[in-house]
Amino acid sequence: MKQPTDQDTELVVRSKAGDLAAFEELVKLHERGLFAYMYRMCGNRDDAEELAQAAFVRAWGGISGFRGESSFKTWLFRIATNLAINKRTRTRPTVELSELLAAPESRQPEESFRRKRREELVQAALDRLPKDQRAALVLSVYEGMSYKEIARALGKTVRAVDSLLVRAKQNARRFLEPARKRNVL
Amino acid sequence: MKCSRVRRFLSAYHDGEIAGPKREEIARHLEGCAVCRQELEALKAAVETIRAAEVPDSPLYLATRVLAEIRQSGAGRAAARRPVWARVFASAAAVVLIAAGVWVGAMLGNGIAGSGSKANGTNEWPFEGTEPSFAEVYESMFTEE
Ligand SMILES: [Zn+2]
Repeated sequence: MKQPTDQDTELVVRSKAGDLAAFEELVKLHERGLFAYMYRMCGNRDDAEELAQAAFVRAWGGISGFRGESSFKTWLFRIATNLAINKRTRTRPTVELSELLAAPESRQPEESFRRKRREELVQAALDRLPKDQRAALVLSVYEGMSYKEIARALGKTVRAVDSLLVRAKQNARRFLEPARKRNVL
Repeated sequence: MKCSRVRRFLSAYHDGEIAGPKREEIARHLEGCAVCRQELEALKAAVETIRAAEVPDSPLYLATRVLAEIRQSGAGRAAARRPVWARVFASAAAVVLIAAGVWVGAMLGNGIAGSGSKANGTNEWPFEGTEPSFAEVYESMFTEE
């Protein structure tokens, strides 16, 4: 089987030559990951879809300028990061931790209820982080990117990424720990 | 090594960004220091909690929408209208570029393989920039503090 990046390389080359079908393949390979990233960044489906779509369209428009200094994915995520950081996302009421913890007993099966609550708590923790901390944390935790890759995706130095992650984790911990202590997570 | 210094680098340590003697040094400290060990456990727990939360699936129509928007804007047609010889030339040039990239990658690979990056390597690209890895940056941070 081909390595994902080898596959990307070939598709990028064809896209640069104007092959829209090749670009469509790139979109299909990365839509899941990019949508998840955008969802984590803005916390709702509508904005996540809009941002992911806009990032792909921009990527097509700028593909001739992509010189392969990073992977296609990192380059795509950089475009998306800029869009996500600059976008004023739909304002959602900030969920208070106490509200989440005091959610009424549900008739849903225990496990799915816990899972749902965990998702809400984690997204609430992410929502509270400054966007650059949030982006670094999401790319590290969910995408498994190295600090070097995150640095490229965010346009920052490796050192700045390290300090963003230290602060992001501290902040997320401060928010999540009361829930963990009460065994809701 | 002092506790404060170990704590400062626990995040990078946990992310596998610190390698070699420094990593061993931190590991040794953790063996002998229950407080820092507890700190690492709390950090791990928070990261695992975050990791365990799921994200909804991407909409099935995303690719279709992207393509529709590109076609509508006319950006898709411009490239497709280029004469065949131009596209063949572009493809041939690209093949040469890939071959060169693989060669350069292989040459560079010996020197920098795995420096500070995670073992999964899913984002490897034959070309490497000049930006230092975290391991190199970390060395200098250590001596400064
Ligand atoms: Zn200690």
